Amino acid sequence: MKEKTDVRQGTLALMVLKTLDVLGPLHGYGIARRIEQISGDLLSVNQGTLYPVLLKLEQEGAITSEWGASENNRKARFYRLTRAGRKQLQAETRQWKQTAAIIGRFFTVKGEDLP
Amino acid sequence: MRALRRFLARLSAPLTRQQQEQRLREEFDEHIALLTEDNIRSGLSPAEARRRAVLKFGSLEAMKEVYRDQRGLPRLDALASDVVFGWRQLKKHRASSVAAIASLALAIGATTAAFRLVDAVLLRILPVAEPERLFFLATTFVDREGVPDYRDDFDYPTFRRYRETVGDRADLMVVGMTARQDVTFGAADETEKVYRQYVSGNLFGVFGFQPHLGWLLTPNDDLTPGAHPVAVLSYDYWTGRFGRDPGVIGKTFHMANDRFEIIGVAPRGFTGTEPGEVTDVFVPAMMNVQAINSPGWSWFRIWVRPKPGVSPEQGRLPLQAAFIHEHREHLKEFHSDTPKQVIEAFLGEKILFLPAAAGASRLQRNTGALCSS
Repeated sequence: MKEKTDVRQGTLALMVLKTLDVLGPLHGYGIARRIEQISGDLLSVNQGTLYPVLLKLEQEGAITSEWGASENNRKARFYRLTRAGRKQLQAETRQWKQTAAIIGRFFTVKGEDLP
Repeated sequence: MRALRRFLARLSAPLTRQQQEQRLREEFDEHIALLTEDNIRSGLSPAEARRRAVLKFGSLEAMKEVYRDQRGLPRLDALASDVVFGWRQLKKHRASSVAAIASLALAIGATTAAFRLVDAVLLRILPVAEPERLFFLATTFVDREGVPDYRDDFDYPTFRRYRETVGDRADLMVVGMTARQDVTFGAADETEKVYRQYVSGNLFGVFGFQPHLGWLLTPNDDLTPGAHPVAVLSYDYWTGRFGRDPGVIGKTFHMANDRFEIIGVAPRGFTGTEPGEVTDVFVPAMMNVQAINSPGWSWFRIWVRPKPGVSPEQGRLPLQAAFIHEHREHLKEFHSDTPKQVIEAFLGEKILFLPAAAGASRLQRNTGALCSS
């Protein structure tokens, strides 16, 4: 069995935004499950981190929430990406790609490449 | 921008605290319920499914704490609960609350009034002629701890000697300390409190004052101990007590053991010589009968106005010489084993002219508004 890792600090917010962007409105549990699924069950989302992150994103205006019915007709709080959240997602995605690219170059650099 | 929005949201959090609590609880319950269902679907018994769900969810209380910290501003929450607690206590002990609030209100009111008075009076230059050429006498000394200090209260015999010494170089005035005293007006039985100040007869003349009404004290009202039962009211007192009744001249009041006659009202704006103190009634120094011939009974300041063409220093030097002369006489009574430095310090004492343009008071001295020169 594979060892699950916790989500790195600061990356969970981005994952939440992306999940909501792709899958539309979701409740907290759904978000947690989806993130775990998308990561190929390599990640374990700690609820103790997830809900504060959801609240923080909501306070920033990146997401909104409202009560709705879950798939088996239970009352659940659904989170939805806002326009500001979508912008934030784009900006952070760009930053991540940039960071990843830079880190990537460091990993591939060889001694003879440098003058 | 994002931080600002978050801050505003957190600021408003306590307002909807109950709703938030409710939402939090429901959301967590929902989460555990869904987790349990998933576990059942994967083949666990309902009880075990729920147990695992709760386990995975983690410590609910610890998480609520994290969540709350993120949600509100913890310190503000604590403050809010303090306020609520305080309010409940106030309601619980109504009588003492009312008393506390009332006394606070009174205290604040009184403090404000006092501050306004002091502020106005302290910063106001005396409305006298040539205020910058007005001084009060002080004598320096070194106290037991070796700290330089000065005293500025004198007895009447000393005043007489100084007046003689200065001669026609300057006018010396007796300026008593303002004190509260009981008086009865006319034939009334009711006692009132007034702020009474003893002054020498030349004070109003030296200040260049004209009476607002009637007459002011003159040197002739200050010649013989106990023989001049006359009084001048301050403008403010005349306004407050008599409604500016011109008929007040000639009325009498009983104070100490004498019946005084009101002879006039001082000019408007003159509230006394001591900042922070307001005088109601000015009476001649000679009416302080018992003090007149008592050496060591210090009860007034000596104010000085050098005569035209005389510099303050020209006025001071003869006084300094007399002062040291008296010290040398006094030195003869010292013990023969008195340490040398004590004698030197004693003979090093000085008599000073301190500026009195804004009046003279202990208040200024305590606040360090004066510096000796």
